[in-house]
Amino acid sequence: MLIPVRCWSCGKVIAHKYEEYRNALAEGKDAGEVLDDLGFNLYCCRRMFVGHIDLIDEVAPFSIDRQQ
Amino acid sequence: MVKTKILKEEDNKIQVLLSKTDRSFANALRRSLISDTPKMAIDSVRFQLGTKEQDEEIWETTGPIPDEMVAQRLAMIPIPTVHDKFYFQDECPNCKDLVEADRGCLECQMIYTCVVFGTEEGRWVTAGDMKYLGEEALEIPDEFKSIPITKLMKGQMIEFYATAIMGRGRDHTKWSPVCGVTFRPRRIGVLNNKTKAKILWDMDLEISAKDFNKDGKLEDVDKVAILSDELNHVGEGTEASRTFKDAISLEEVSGEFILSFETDGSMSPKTAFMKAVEELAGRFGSLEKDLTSSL
Repeated sequence: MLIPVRCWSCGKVIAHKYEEYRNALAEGKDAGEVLDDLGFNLYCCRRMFVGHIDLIDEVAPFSIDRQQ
Repeated sequence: MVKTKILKEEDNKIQVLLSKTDRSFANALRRSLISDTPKMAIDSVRFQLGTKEQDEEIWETTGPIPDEMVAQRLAMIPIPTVHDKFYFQDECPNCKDLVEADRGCLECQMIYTCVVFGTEEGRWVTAGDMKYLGEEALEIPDEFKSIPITKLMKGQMIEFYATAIMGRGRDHTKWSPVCGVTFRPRRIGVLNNKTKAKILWDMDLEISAKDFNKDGKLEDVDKVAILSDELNHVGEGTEASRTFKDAISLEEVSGEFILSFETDGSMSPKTAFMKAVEELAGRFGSLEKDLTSSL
């Protein structure tokens, strides 16, 4: 749904870099190189980025407010 | 007496050389860093529920992420920790005699507040939207202000008060200030056979014969790490290994360990290390006291 705040295995804070990672991928950069640049060297943190699918934009419209 | 030397120090990362010690002490230090170092983390969140009328619109406290999940995300956010300013609640001079539910004062808790309204295209609620009720220095660090908490659409809002208290990693991982804590024995490269070692030099990699001293030893920690990787080119399973054999070997230095770890940003790695050492010393001190009293 949303990128976890920390890496599940080592506990490093990762969520603050997710936007940067997404933008770099959108520019066509290689995921591995982007993660190197962002300072995520451990493979536990790297899989958090690579394996994540952001679904909040799909879910958000279904939490309808009372007015509608 | 254990000796420590900082080999490398960055904002959130540190590498320390421990000498005149043994594996069990290095491990005690590692475990102390993970589970005994005091740290501030959000422990309770009060969500304001209901509807609000503002600018001729009705806002409801709902959203795509349930409150429990929001609270969990808040707990994971690194809160700047100043050990001199805050006490544990059960040690706080103002609150220690109170029942648990009544505890909490300026010296043992930090309160963050947040009110955010959604928008048509969706508004991200981030750690930066939380305001600390107190001095500015204890706001969430700029680096972590972009941590997403939830996303709100039009008509949705969120309002909460989050209370951070001091705790230890052994009670919950949110109170553990370190990540990736490892230690390994310090190794040095030893040149055993100059002629055969030429196989590696001919590969034109980073480490060359010049890096070894007169006694045929390579002692620099970073260079040894590179050499360790490069030896894979002539290691087991390669064609070159048949002639290379043990022309260069890596030997452990007895009693020396390299401890490296990162902090989550709530405190500097040096502070975390000092606090861990302090906790460990306190533990050994009390053990000594118990032993002398029982003997």
